[in-house]
Amino acid sequence: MDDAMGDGLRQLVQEPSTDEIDAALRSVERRARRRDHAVAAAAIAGVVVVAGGAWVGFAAVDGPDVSTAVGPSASTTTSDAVAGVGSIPTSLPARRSDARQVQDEVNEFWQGLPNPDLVRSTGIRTADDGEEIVVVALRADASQLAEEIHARWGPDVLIELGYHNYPEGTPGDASCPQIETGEAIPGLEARLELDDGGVVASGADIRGRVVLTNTTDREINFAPTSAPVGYVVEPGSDEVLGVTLQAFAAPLVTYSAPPHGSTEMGIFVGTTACQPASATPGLPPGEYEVLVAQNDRGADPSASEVHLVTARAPLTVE
Amino acid sequence: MDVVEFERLFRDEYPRLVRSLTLVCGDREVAADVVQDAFVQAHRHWRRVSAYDDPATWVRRVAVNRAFNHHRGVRRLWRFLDRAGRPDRQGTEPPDVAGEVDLWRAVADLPHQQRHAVALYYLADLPIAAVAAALDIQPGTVKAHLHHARAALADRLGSPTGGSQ
Repeated sequence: MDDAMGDGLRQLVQEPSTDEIDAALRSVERRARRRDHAVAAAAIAGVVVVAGGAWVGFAAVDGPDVSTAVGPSASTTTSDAVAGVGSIPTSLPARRSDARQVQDEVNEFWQGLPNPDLVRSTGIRTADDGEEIVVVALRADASQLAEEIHARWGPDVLIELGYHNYPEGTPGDASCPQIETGEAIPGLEARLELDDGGVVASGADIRGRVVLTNTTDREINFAPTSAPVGYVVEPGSDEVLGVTLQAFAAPLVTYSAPPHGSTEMGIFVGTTACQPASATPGLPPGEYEVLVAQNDRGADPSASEVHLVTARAPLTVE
Repeated sequence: MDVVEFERLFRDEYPRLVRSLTLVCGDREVAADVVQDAFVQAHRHWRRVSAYDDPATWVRRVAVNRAFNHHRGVRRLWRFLDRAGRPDRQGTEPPDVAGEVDLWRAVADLPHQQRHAVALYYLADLPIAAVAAALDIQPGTVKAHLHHARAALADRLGSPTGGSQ
């Protein structure tokens, strides 16, 4: 059957002829060159875009003739745009517009995803040789999405799956934060509760809350200065193993616990492996602990005394 | 860019990929487009692609993924047309050649990973390890796909199974 099936399949589909292969090769080279020219033209077009007198493009000295007027004003020429702008790059980064175009495509793709939380960020990175490339940071459990992005954009896009490079699977620049130390806030007890029974898939995020209970007769205010996150640690240890790659704005909220009352602080926990030698983007399945250590410098950010709110809860990574 | 190296890769890989992805896509022109798209990408990024250990694997993987995406698009179209009561699948069906239709249909009914494995193994004449690299799966998984595919095709076509891969 094996040989018969192979023969049958081979008879079913013939190889392209030499002429077809030659024509296809010429077509590929033509298309690749056409795209290169389109990219160069797009880059040149960026030269003369001046908005409100502010330079927003890049100067180009090479490439196709750009002496014709383009941009917001029909009378604006390259030299007009360059004149009076001051210090302007004199050479165009070879792929800048291309990278931005790719980033636009990736961002559009991102917006259309059913679960956009899987994408942490997109950006453009400049290599030592000046070449620019789009970087997409994905949540550690987004391997399927990484595969799709890699299939669509190939080497146009560097993919970071957690702290790992995709598809190579090599660890990237991972580093785990150190837990701060300090004194507990007198009279304020903290209890950590995690959603979903404290069970999360490897690489995914889980939410929770710290319930702050005031055991005193006076109001206690707590103004955290760090992002509302919890870290995954070895049970009983302060050594951080997992983090979230979610970006947070600087916290500006103050929590007030009334006398003998309580208040809640929402927190975010990630299971992206952050140890440099991590074998996988997400933490290996197992039993861990989440540690929240939020500092409070009160009204004086320069105060030397740091008060902490700490709480722990068990976490199962599946 | 090294034009000679690129052309060598193209002449080595293009025929076998078009042949195998024709089986996957059910359409020779679609397969040729998919493979050419992969080579356009490779051409544009040749400096980086050529630095890979095996640029052919990269091209195969991009082509296979594009073929898979095409297949998913076609399946979505089929489902839509079926729901709309217009099973007009012109251009997405294999050629209706006497004696070949059953085999086409049998292959088309295989799960996509099995179909890719069969196409790359039998039509691209790639060794198991290269099929595994192109599909980004383990060699053992390729063997399992081939085994199940052979069994399914034999069952469908009424032939005894054989082979030991």
